[in-house]
Amino acid sequence: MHLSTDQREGALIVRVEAARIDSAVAIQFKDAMRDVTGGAETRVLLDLSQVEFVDSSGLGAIVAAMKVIGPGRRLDLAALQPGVDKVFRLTRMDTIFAIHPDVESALGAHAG
Amino acid sequence: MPAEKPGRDRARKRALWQVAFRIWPAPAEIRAALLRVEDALQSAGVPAASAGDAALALAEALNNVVEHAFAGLAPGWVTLDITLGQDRLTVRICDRGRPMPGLAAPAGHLPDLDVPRSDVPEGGFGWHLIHSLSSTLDYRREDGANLLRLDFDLRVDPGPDSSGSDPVTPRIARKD
Repeated sequence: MHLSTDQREGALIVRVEAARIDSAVAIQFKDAMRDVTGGAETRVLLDLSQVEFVDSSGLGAIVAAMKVIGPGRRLDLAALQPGVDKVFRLTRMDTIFAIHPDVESALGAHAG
Repeated sequence: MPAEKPGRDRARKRALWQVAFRIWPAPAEIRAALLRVEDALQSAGVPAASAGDAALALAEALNNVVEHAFAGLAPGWVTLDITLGQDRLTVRICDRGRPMPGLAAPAGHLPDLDVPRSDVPEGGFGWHLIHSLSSTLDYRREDGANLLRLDFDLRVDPGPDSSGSDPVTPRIARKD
């Protein structure tokens, strides 16, 4: 599970460089998120533009990552593909996470 | 229109595509099977969104087999039987793991999300997704096996190249 990171405009942008966050990689995803977000103190923006498929295991891993990042820092999501967006809506997880159409608007939303 | 009904019923009964194969209940095997099924459905003319919905419901059902039916048991083969009609996809999953509690498929109520961030649940969504994505769900325990049938309403667009031949079936290899 490869995650690439970029620090921009007061946010740590984490891009998932994989097509699936499913039961085969949920634990790896959680561990990788812990590694890349551990030192940062800023808001974290998870860029899901490359992700085509998230199942309930993957969803649980994203929730776990939110908890690891801590109560003092936000984990926001950006660039969900339609099938992934549907999982968040059907499970009402869209009420837990701020979901942005893309990274640029997510950065703008925070600034404004 | 009354005149359409017999035609629709005939179309429903005639399978456009049917495949049965078995998979080993492990996450990597499930992923590979889902990718093959989703790809085959799209090749058969199922819209990408419908194929994705079916693949997600199937993923959740198979994850449950791994996590619950075979929990603490030696795993065994899981059989998938998939039938695509003109307006319906039927998936049958058979495993010889533990029966479902109460011999019934869970209702799939969403967990309470009105909780502090530190208490947001990390699981408990699978059956809700299966119920939400499928049009009918039937579970029974027969002869020591779990039989789960999921139906999905959809529209198949065979496309201009459609003919009597079936180019799709070979794309799903039987696993022995």
